Amino acid sequence: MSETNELVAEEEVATQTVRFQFHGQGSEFFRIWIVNLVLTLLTLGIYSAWAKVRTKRYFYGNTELAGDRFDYLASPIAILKGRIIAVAFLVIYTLVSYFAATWSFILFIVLMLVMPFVVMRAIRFNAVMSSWRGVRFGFNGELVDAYKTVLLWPLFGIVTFGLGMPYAWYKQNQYLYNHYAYGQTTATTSAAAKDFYRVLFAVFGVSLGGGLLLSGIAFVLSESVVALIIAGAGYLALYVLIYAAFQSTYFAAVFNNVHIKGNRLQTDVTITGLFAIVLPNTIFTIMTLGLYYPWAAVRVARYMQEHLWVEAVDLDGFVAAQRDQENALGDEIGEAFDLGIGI
Amino acid sequence: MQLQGTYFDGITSVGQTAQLTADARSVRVSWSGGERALAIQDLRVEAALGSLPRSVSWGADDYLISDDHATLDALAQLRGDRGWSFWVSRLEANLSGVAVAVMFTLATLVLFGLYGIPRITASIAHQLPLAVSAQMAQSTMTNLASLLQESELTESRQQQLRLYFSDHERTDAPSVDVHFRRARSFVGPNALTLSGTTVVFTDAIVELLQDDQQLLAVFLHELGHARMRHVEQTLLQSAGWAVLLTFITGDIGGVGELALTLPFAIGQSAYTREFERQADAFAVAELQRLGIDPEVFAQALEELERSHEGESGDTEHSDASEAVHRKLLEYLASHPITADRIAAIRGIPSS
Repeated sequence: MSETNELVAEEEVATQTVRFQFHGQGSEFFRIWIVNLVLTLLTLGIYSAWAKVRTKRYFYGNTELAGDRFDYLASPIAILKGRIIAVAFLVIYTLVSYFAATWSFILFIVLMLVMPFVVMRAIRFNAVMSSWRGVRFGFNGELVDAYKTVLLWPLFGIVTFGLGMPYAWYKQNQYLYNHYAYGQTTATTSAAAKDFYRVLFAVFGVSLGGGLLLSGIAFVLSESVVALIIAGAGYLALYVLIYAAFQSTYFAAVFNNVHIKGNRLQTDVTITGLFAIVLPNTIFTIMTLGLYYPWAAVRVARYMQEHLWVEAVDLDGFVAAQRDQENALGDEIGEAFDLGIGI
Repeated sequence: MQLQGTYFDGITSVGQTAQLTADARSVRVSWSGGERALAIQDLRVEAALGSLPRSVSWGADDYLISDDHATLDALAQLRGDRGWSFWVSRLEANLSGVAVAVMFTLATLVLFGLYGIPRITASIAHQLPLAVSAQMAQSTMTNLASLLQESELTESRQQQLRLYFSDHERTDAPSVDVHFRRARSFVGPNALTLSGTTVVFTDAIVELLQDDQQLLAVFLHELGHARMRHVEQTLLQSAGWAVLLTFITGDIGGVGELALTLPFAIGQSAYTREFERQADAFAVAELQRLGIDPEVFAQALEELERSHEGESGDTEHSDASEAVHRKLLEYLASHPITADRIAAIRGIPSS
């Protein structure tokens, strides 16, 4: 999983390993989360924009690199506007797709044509609203490339029955990390298509192995209450395992290959490591009807951050870029429809 | 008052050790590279968020970060007019406030799930125009086209059953469309309500139930679903939950979302069971109104149960674990266990 990159291995300068640290606490985040939830319920959802900002600030603010914390700076009002439009669209879309399938198809086409723009804006909004040491991140991807990345390549993945999907992820990753910036400095990614094919193989292998094992167990146990419970638990575990396999290998493919001004990101996140975190998380979250969620979220964030580091050359030499005003519209529509692009 | 912290100029990625001194009117921020004099009203002290370091800013790009929370709070006090986010921070820090929040959230969700959503969706479903229901049934029919093929029953048999059904249908609402379809084998003998306007019988059920009165009983059960708009209610409920969950959870993704929706999915199957009971009661009442012994409905269900058992092996167990097994099934099943339904039908005294 944590293979070092051949491309940069040559130009070795004196680097220093600087680890990310995560300081969040489950019990502390629980209080923030539950107050968010109550105020959201009491205000019939309006507070959700403030809740989102508080949550993001909590996670960004607890992430430390080289002694300084990250920050999330979006204004809740901007997010609220976007969220109202997104929810209105979601309601219309849901109703139309239930009650008039043909119209929902047209709506879907329109949505697809607008989506690349929305995604591009969403990435940029999130980047610009993130900062470290008072310098904001940024994103300077082009709209044309957004159309290719969001529509064309995934379409290619679908018509090749999923075999081209890793190539689409590779293209998406290039779009994202060759245009991501910290201050005035743009990052580059050296991830190759094979890094993303490894993701597909991991997911495929884990699904196949787990599926065979499960059907074997089901065959041996036949029909009884115990078998029912074991099969249920097995499916849950398999689902989590597939999730962990995808997340960890994708994370590794992306973050073992990002460079910015000679500084290299590295990660040693593993499938088993993530699985060992997410499985208990899922079980406890279900058993507590969701109340365990804050601890679960903190545990995942801690695992990811503590397995991420920078092989740093110089972290002090970045300079902030000129800024324009941003609005949250793209961000929120993208989020409401849960697009799989982003960090 | 003195506050130690780190100063960021908002331009370069380097922090500098800094200190802020404040009295009732003026503020001075100094760091190794310079200093700034400010009026106290221009200060913005961030409210606490957990134990995160907080920023002190003054409307420019540069700012000061500190984790000396006591002094930060005193500074905010000095500044006055702290804004409502300090109130939120106090609520988060207050243990009994958090406990109340937990109870309130759980109670709201449970009550809303048990009473709010079913009521709201029922009233919306009953007001939907029939044209919408017809459109819905059309969509479902198109989606299920590969499962439901043209019936192999003779046209005259189909017509005869349609007439027989509509003769016994209450006339207080437009009659429903009855379709016959040959279904894939795993669907088996079955009847489905697609929406408030449309009911589908599989060929297998028409062949299985030899007594037309039994078919009528099944039809009346489906008519109950149709008249009470149960399919519309179910769809609206899931749409309602989707919107509500989007609102509440906002930024939960992946496994968290699954974990949160699972209890609701199980809860939803409880609504579905309630719908089955209502449709059974509707069928029994209609049979009684028509002067037909509801026993035919019980027999029809027994017949169906038997035919399903024939496929999936005998499920009769008489050991002690049966009760547990059935409880579990009852909780997860979207249809009540047939034996219970049959007992309920027979238990209703004929008037």
